Amino acid sequence: MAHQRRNGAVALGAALLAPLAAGAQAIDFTVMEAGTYDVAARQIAEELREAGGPDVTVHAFPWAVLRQTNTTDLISGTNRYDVMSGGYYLADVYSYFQPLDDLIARDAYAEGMIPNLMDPGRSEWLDGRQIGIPYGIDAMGLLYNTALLEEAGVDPEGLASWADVVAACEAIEAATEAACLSHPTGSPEQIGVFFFSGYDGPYVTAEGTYALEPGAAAKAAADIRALWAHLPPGGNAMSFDEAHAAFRDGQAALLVTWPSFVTNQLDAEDSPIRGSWAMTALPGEGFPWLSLWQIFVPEATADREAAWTWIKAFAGPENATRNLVEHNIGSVWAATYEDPDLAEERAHFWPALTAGFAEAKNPPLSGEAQDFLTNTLQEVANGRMEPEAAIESINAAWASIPVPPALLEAARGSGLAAE
Amino acid sequence: MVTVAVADEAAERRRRRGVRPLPDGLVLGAFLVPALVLLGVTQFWPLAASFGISLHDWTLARSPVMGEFVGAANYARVLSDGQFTGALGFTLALALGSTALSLAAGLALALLTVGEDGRLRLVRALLLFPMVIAPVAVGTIWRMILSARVGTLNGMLGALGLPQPNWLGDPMLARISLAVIDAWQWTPFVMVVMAAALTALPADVLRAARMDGAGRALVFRRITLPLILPTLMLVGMFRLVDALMTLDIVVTTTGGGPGFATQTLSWWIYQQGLRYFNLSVAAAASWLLLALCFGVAALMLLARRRAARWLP
Repeated sequence: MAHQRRNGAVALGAALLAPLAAGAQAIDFTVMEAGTYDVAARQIAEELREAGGPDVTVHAFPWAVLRQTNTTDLISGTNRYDVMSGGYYLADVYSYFQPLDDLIARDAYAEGMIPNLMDPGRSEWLDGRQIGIPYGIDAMGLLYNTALLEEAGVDPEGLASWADVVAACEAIEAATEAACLSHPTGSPEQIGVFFFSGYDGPYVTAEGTYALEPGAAAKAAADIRALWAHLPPGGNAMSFDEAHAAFRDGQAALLVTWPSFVTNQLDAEDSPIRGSWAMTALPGEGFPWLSLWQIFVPEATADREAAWTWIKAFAGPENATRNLVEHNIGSVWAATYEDPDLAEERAHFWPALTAGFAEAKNPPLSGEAQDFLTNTLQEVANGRMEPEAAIESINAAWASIPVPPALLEAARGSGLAAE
Repeated sequence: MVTVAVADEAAERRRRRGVRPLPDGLVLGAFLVPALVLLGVTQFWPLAASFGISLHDWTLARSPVMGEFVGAANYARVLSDGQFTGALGFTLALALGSTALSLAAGLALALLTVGEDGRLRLVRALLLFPMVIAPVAVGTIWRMILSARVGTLNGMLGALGLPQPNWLGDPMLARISLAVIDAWQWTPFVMVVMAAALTALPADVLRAARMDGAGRALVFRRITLPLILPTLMLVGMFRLVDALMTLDIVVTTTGGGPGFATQTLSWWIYQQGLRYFNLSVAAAASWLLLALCFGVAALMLLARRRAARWLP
């Protein structure tokens, strides 16, 4: 009887200790639920587990929920997640993440990555130390219907500014039955792409406060209003799906969007536009808007090595090409774009896409500053505000919005702050 | 009788043991304590904490601890913010518009479906559907209906050869659309309460009026409406206060746009508190919204009391 009790106690102790032992190698990872990043993460987590690596649990949320979940977890000190997905919009909580430069240097991790992608202003830094590891890249692009542009006699390579696009739109609308420009106008923040690429000026003053250069900014805003006249009828509140469908169905000649959202659809067997679309560089003297998914490790993460093992498995070069082909996740590794078969298959958009990657940046704006900018630009685009008054109003509002230190660092590092 | 006997027996036992009964006030207090503690922890303490935060400087992204005492500075900042005052104006318009629409439609539906007939009950049950759908789903459904290019409403209008407005892209139409969506969802609530009020009307008074030759319109204007007015005003108060806090349908249909056109107070507070982490500003704005809701409720209750005095 005593023997049985002892055995029972041993079994109970083992059962209690087992999760603790396993816990040392357990990682909770947050990622966007989109049928792409999350699916890839689960696939790689399973493979890593089978190979004897950390036990990674993938927690997927829609974008807005992911952002909220990450920030709440950090700020409230819940510390449920060991590794998080995010981007520059997490600037308000950068101080909760740990620097990773020692691990990057130890494993020469950045070797082979798209040049300069690990620089401030492109990936995330705090106090001169890297906190974000890139794993998925995209840059806003201008996609065009080759047949419609040919019919209208428009040379896509000649679209150097948004004013050129407006002129091209007039030609397209005169020569074809299609509308000119499609864009997810119903997502209020997306209007930023036209401003960021059209405005060639600073966002932060030499004193470290937010401000736009009024003349250049008003010109960029006026161009947006001119562009809005060339949306499809009733097209100033289109969802991503509607905007993409308008282009795919030949109802619009141009599409400004995130290429990774749409290229697979456009090249699908049943796509009406398959074989008759291409992509060119985003017009303007500013910069293409960068979408760079990065992995962050909170300060509170205890098992840093396990987190790093997961980062290397998920974001490293090993799975990059598979993630691109199977899930359309833009690879951050240069070698992916040197694959001759893929390059040939994607020749109609890869040159412009990769050129965009080299130029693309994040605006050094906090959520509050960016929301005010894009909402005000919508007022201009819809004719409810004059461009000059809008820029004046933006500068007035920005004067009371502090620049988070990490974004000040990014602005200075990426040439978006005044000298 | 048995209860009284048992109570008397217990009192006798206590008297014999020399135990004096507890005063009623103490017994009452003892029973109230758990409820008061619960209310204090879940309601009063968070409210007091939020009021305290509103008097300090605290942006969570800058510091994990509350900053210095700033008095009413956050309230002044909120009230001088153009976006907040714009949101306040739209919120009031939305609340008034949506409440008026839902009261009118709810009362009309109640008048049409009042009665105990099985078919009427079925119709009333079917009409309740909008109210039981999650507000987020309501917004998503209406976004699909109102889409200018692919929405079902414009599809029907186009088929009839009518103009197809940009319901969510035009600032004024977007505002009207939100009022209609909110009214659509909460009209069943008005209908249910008003149907109950109509059912409770004294049948003899209505019968007497009809025997005296009063038509339906006259009976409604002179008898039905005055008798249900207090209920109507109470429902109006609930609807108005609820509409002042609208957030879900804004998030799912317009995102506060186009531009700033459909930003409501709750949206503004959500943005400040949970997106920008300006906790003290969000707390101050929340207290202003609370004061507004209290003010509106108090006015409606006052008006209801006055209306009740006019009743025959």
